[in-house]
Amino acid sequence: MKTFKLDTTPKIESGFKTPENYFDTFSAKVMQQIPNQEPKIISLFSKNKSWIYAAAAVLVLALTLPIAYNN
Amino acid sequence: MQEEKEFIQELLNPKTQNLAFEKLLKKFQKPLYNHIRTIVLNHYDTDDVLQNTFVKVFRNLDKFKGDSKLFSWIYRIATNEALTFINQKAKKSGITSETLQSKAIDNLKADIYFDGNEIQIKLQKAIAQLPEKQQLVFKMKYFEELKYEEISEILGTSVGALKASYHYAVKKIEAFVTTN
Repeated sequence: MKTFKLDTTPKIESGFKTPENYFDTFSAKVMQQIPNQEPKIISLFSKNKSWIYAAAAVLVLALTLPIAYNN
Repeated sequence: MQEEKEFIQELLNPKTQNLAFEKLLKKFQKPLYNHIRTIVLNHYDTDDVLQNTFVKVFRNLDKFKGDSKLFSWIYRIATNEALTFINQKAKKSGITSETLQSKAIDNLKADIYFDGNEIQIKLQKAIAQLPEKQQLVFKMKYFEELKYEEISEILGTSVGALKASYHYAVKKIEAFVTTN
């Protein structure tokens, strides 16, 4: 019975194979599961309306002051 | 080391995080695939575990303290995910993980993503005789060709103990293949 010796036998590969293009599409698959870091966009419809009121107040003043002045 | 420190900063900075993480993915996807596959054997299971591993890496980036290399930290997560996976799969099927492994090896012959022949299957059967840790050490050294120092960082076992483990694994495998 021939004794099997690992170090004198040519390297035995695992034999595992992947589907074609598997790695090409793999990273996209994972990135889809990762939250996207987007820069914050300040919406006009944001809940915090205080800046709109401030802007409106300035506009009203700008429009009414010259009238008040002329009177 | 400096390069790694800078890369870790990129991974932790929300502005550069996603780009850096893609770089990490591309660097580690193949070696981690091979690592996980030697544990779970089947391609589809490997695909699942590999995705879960990377998602886990991303979610735990802020917990990476940098006291080990990024490489060993990621490999440790992959190893744990793979081992947990097979244990859970075995539990769900009401069998031991040894029986599950044996079935997975039997399925290799018909697996389209396995192009090995008799000797590859015999080797897998021989490895399956070993205790779990010894199997890991053997696979990481023989199939993945990792250095003992790298295996030591991943498994948290001394290089001396790893060399002894590998030596015993080889002897048992040789005996199994000779007599089967």
